[in-house]
Amino acid sequence: MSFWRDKNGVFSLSAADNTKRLTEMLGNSSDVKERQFSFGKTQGIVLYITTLVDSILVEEHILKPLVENRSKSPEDSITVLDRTEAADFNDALDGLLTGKTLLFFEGQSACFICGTERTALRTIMEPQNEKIVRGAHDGFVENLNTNIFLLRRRVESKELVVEFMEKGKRVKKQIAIVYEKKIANPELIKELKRRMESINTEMIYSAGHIEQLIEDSSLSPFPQFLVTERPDRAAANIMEGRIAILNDGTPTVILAPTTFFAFYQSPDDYTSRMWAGSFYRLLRLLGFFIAFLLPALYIAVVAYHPEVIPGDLIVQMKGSVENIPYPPLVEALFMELTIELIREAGIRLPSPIGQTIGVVGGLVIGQSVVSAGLVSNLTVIVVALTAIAAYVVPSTEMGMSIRLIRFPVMVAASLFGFYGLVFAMMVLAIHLCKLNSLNTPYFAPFAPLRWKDLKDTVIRRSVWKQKTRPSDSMPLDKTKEDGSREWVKE
Amino acid sequence: MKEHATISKQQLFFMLLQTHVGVGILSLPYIVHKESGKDGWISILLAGILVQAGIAIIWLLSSRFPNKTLYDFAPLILGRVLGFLLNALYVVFFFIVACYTLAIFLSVSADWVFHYTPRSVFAVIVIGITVYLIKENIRIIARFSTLTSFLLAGVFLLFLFIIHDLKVRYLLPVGSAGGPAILRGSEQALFSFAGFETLLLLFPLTKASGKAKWKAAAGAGALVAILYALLAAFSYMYFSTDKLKHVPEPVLYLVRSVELGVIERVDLLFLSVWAVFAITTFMSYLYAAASGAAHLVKAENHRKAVYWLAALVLPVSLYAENSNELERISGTIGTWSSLFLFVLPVFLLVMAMMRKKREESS
Repeated sequence: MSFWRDKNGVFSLSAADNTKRLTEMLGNSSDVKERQFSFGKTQGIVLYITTLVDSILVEEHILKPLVENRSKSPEDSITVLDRTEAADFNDALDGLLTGKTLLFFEGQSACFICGTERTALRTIMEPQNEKIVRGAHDGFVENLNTNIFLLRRRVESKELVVEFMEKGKRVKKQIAIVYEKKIANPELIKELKRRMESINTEMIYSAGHIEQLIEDSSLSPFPQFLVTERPDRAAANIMEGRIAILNDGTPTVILAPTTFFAFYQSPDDYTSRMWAGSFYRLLRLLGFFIAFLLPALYIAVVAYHPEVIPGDLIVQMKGSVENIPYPPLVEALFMELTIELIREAGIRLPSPIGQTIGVVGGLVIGQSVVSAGLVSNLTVIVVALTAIAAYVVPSTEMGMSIRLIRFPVMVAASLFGFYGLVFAMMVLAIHLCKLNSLNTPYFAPFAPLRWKDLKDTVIRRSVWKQKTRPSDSMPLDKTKEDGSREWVKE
Repeated sequence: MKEHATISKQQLFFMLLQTHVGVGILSLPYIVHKESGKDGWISILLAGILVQAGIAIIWLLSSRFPNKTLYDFAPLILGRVLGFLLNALYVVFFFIVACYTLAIFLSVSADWVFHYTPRSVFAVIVIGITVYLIKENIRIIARFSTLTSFLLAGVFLLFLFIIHDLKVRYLLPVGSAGGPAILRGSEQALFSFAGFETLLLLFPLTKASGKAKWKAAAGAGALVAILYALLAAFSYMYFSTDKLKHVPEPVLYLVRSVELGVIERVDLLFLSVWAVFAITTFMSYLYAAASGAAHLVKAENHRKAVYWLAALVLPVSLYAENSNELERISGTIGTWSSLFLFVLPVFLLVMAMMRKKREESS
């Protein structure tokens, strides 16, 4: 060892020495394989990790040309596309670990790295958790290069910039930042890189992991970056001046900065007609309010302000609620937690059983809990409606946040009725006003109010009316549409 | 480092709106009615005009010191000692108004909905929410004010539902109360317009041309005057003069009669929305007091002052137990407020002009 350490970084003239050292650096792992060959009079060794390389590539493009002496110099014989020379042993080691094949020649103090990675690819298919009706149906996969390919295919522009960085102290993982350089704000890119640079973790496990390391407020219940598995969504956001963060190993792409309302937008809104798009936007926002407010409202009304209910309804409501022994909060909490349990169980179980759980949970519990007199009919209706409303959010993260916020709001309502609701909503509103996403206001375009950006927030105006990009990402170039419908005169 | 967060002219408008529209909205028609009868809405409009004068004075004063708040320029005009004293007075005034706002809020809440909840519970919650917001910089506060202003539009849509019950003849003959009575009513109304004096702090924090700032402030003042006058006119057209004498919170009773079909007792909803307005007013005043207090003790930022004042607000605002006492206190504050709203700004302006003080343009 001491001999190598003295000449750190410099390859030995003996190919066997080099491979031996590398094999030892890899802990003599059993899948590190070497194979000797001769190129004319020169002896050489290829070193590779058999579980990582594509053996056909090694055979066809490295060994075969070398053995057949196709060219004058051994380097030129190799016909793989990606071929570099290693600077030092670490470089060579990194190459080995990403599935490259190393090439040593006897008497040459050099190491060639040939790209022979095996890629076990899942087929590109529509993400299960972000389905749409019309529009593109492809989705990101677990491979970084494929994901970038999907993005580049969509945004075929010379201004699309891809920047790679490697993060992870013990296990290095590739991360890519993708942005449109004529639109994305350089300040934001700088800020993002500043945050990424401090990442000093052992290994990056997923996109959610990166998100937690670079988000503005890690205690907030709200997700501050949009994540998506849809290339069309990512591409549209890149064209709005946002920065996409891709990492190897997860199909999830992080988009920053984001506003609260971006979570309520779906690619469907843009493919359908303006009226339908606007209607479903409004419906989703209604869903947002129902999801976090309805159970609390129910509790406040039943426990504190039954006088709010119109006279015709109050008799029926009293009949439903009167014989229930528990206070409305307990009732509602019981049902909400049941629904959450069914949801969680439904995700984990294999799909045929999952349906059974749905039936057992939904029908049996719902029916019998009422007839047992534990929970009122109304509570079941309220909770069911809430559960449905929580799932109209096109983003899973936001859906989860809302379902969590619901609980403190319910407690507040059970303590102080309408006032409790008001207090809770004020705290929520203040929090949203305070919250930033990559130093840009999260609750834009409502706080701060930007009238111009409302055209694509609560409603969706016709695409040709959306002449400017939303300003929350502070784009360099604001115009996105100019006179598409000023048709050339006949 | 001093914070340099600025707000836009729209944010100035909304912040002023939220400071203006506060606890007074519920009983203003009643208070004015006591003096000027069914012509109270004229009194309110007159008070609104006076407020425009007040805004103009503060604007003139501020435009001499475009980057300095009251706390910065008062010592420049009056000298260090007197300026300090004046600033301290303003801090106390802002603080007292904040306490008063909270006390009214607690009292109305106790009378209308929560008879049994101890006042201190709501006081602690409101103060908690306030601190959560106002420890941030002015820009965040302005964002929140803008957001809550949407509620104001909703509230006034409510009144569309009672239009068919209004009887214009209750207002006739216009002006029958006579000039002096109407003027006395204006005097009573004036305190409900308190809020524009925060411009002493807000103008320099606004990033806009001088004229735009004035337009935003005057616009907010005018809008509030019109809304208040409408509210009073609605109350007078709904209740006759005789009935109104027995209704100290006419606006709540007015809303109570709104029939939406889907829900009843709209007043309860209205009260919840009103809670937001009351709390935002409280926030503005406490922020004004805290930033002043921080300035007096030369603190780096206002955060610590917020905590101290928040702790102080609690006992002071719980001091007034019942509504009669509050009404008495309100009278006292009302009298004193004209000093802070008009007299002192005029005095400062005159002094600044005489001593030819203005900010050196660097």
